[in-house]
Amino acid sequence: MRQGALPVGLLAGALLLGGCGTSPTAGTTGSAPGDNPYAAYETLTGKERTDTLLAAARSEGGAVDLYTSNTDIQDLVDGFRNAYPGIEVNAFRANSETVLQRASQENQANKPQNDVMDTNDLELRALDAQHLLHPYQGPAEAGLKDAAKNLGGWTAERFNAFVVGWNTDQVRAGEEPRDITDFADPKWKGRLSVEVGDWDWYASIHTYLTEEKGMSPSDADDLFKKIAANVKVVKGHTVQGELLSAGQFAVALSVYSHTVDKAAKKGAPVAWRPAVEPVILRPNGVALMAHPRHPAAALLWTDWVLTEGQKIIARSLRIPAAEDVPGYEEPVPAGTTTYSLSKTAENDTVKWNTAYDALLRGVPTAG
Amino acid sequence: MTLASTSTTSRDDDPASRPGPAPRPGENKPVDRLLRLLRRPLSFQGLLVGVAVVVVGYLALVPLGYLVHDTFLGSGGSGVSLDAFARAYGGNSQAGQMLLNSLWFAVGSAALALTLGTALAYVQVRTDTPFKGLFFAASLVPLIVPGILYSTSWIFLGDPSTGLLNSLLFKPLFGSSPINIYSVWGMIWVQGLHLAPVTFLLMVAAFRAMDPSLEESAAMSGASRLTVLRRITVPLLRPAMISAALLMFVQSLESFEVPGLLGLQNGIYVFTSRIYFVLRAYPIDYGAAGAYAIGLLVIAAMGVLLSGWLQRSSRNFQTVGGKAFRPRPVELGRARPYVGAGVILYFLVTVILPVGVLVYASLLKYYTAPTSKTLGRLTLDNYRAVFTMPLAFTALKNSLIVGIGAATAVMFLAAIVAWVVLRTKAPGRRVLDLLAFTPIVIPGLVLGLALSFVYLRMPLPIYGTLLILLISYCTRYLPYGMRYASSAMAQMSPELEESAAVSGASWFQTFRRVLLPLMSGGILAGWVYILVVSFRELSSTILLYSPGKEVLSVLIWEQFENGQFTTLAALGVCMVALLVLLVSVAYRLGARFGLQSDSAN
Repeated sequence: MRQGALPVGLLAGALLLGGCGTSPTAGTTGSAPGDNPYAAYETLTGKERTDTLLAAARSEGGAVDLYTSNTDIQDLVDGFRNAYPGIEVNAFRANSETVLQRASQENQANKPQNDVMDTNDLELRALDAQHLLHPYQGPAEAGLKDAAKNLGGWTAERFNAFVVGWNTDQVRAGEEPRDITDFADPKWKGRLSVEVGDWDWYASIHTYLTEEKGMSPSDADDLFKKIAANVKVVKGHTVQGELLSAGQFAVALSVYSHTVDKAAKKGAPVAWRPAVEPVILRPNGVALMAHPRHPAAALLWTDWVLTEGQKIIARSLRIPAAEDVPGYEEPVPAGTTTYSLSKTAENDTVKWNTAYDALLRGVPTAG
Repeated sequence: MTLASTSTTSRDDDPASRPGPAPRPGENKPVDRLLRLLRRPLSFQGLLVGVAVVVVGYLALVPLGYLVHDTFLGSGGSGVSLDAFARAYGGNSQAGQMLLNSLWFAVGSAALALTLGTALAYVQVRTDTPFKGLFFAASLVPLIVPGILYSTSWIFLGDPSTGLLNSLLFKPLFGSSPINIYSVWGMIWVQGLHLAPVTFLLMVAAFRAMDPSLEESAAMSGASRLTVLRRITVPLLRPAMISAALLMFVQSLESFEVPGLLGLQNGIYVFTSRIYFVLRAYPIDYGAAGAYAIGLLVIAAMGVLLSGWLQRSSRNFQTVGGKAFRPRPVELGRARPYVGAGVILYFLVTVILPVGVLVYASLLKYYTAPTSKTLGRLTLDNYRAVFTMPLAFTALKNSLIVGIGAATAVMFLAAIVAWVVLRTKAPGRRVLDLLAFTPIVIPGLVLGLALSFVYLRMPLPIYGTLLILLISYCTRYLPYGMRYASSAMAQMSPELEESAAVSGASWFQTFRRVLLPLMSGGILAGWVYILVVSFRELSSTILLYSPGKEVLSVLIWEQFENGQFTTLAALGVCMVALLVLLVSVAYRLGARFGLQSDSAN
């Protein structure tokens, strides 16, 4: 009996379909240089800039399409609406990987759907490498910290601090760890937790130890093996935070400072200060898309986020990118060693991801 | 009274009764009918069947084509290569060890779910057990609670040091803490309970379509209860049981919620943790992700072929024939209180304990074990937060539209395609069956990417609308719909269709007036399942939804990402309440349209 007749037609259809496009994952839209949708506004300053942008944003349709992985975005959206009533913010919220995938796919199909991007540094760098972003130019730059500027096609709007958090019932006063190397001690066995996807934390600490502390790579590997022998692996930072509050383990080796601060504010027995060194700072940024549908509204949003919006970012217990935010207290205590991932390590994402996976599973790291 | 009965011979491996209708002069009737349909492609019936087959094939082939393309062609597009498989399975991936863990976990979960679900369905449909009302909740609530919440509830219950079962029950009473949820057995327990409703729904439909007179005859002939169960009941239900086992086995293989939350703590890695890793990295190695999915596909395909082979003598299972039967409950007699107690216990363990923990957590600011101090500080703040979410109403509306739409569309398509697969000898029907099963192994993210790739390039306005979510859900739940529909159809003898045809009914009339009503139990069960699970589908949704088109699972994800576990618990509790309500309405409506109910028994 012929088994194939029915699916043959279907298969032919699928082949036709597959033939319509090139490779689904490769290729980018080339952006023609000189074709700058923001040219009319970039050099303006002060009230003239705001007025021109607002008028142009209204005539564009009075909306801005934003893709974001910022979980506190609603506060920014509300703040922007108060500042500019009549300009609607359509926010697509997803995790950073999804935001990246979506924007890449849409641009590959030549159907860009968003004007602004608000997500993590890794994803912004990936988008920038595809020439999908347009560097921000405006007066707001002057007020930003040095680390927030000159990053290519994007600008940092806030920093996340990866810290070591602990349960204050489980870790008594005086027993608090001071340095990441302390956790190799067997007394922590079964009391530590790491998140299964936090390879970027691993990459940061590893390069900090080798590049800043002068540790040899094999010593750093040994240290991590000892730490890994003490850890429980969890999936998801929220579950990790909740289990830490509940006392299921004593220490979470990589949590956001704002997660711990929010829980402590509600009364949970958790703390991260005095900070275990080093505190890892990761920039999260805002970026203008190279092919926006609403360029004026996009620029208006970015101007606002980098100035007035900084107060809202500070209120959500994150670290703003602006040098000076009135009434704001830096959460990381002065004098704490902070570290940001070095440029060389940033590009080796596959290497770090594989190494972290292998470390947790306890397989010999052969490379 | 229901129209139905049996023409079953208990066991019959006689080659004369192979698939298809009895060898009579009209042997090739359904084939002829299909051919007639295809020869008249512009007739309504021909169009209906043709369109259904094409749509199902299209739904399944889009993500499969995308997956195969990425796996074998590589991103360079330079010819066919198997590099992706080397990256996925070679090196220090420990793929073998992890596959073994996965198989152990999947087999254990499927076996537990199959046993529990079947036993519950039997007690529900065929006995005069007390507390039938509780079954309804016990059978569905674990399915409704999102996996992440169900697993976390069990962590709070079964953690070896602080779990409530250990600290409040075993420690004071027996002086030990025997329960450790972070073990393979813990994982099997949670996954098995979470999946048992899949079996329960399928088996309730199957038991209702089964004539008890066979069992009665056996009992009269002196067979013991156990023999009746072993020789009559179980063999007759084989299509439904195989379908359930297959669905749950493959679903356990490809899920990462329970292994991710429970297994990792003790270093128990499963196969899907590899996929999780690959999809988290950038640039994503789609080839490797595809190679893993194809590995799962091979296992699933073997499952489908095996189930086809086990059902090869399909006449053996046709319990719905031309004669009428009246299902009569087995009187439990002295066993009744014990069965009743068992029902209560099951309800307690699968519903009250985990949902109770969720309700308790939803009333807290942060989770702590209950003490007199925490009990005095309970607050409704989290519920207030849920109801004041700006998108709550939009999301609820959209979830209802997409969920009901997908459930209806899938069950309609599946009913027609199941007919083609089981009732005709159309060439390629096995391949069609297999094809309709493939979406179950496609990772949600890959499905999302495949759909956005296609619809971004299509001139039709589908991308960015609710329609693309509907297409995605129809694809994801097609395998479930197919299993529910085909196990219902496998129980029906073709003589009913033949009688209808002889009496002059057109194909469509037969389908609508005879087949669909008789299959309604299975169809409704599949519909309920798809509706419930579509409310929590996230992995493809998150890529495909658009601002203003949010669904509930996006809100759940947002709370989850934002670290608001207690708010998430409140949202979960609201969802359970809402879906229980929806499903009871569906069953009430089903009863009005002739679906038999057991409540009177």
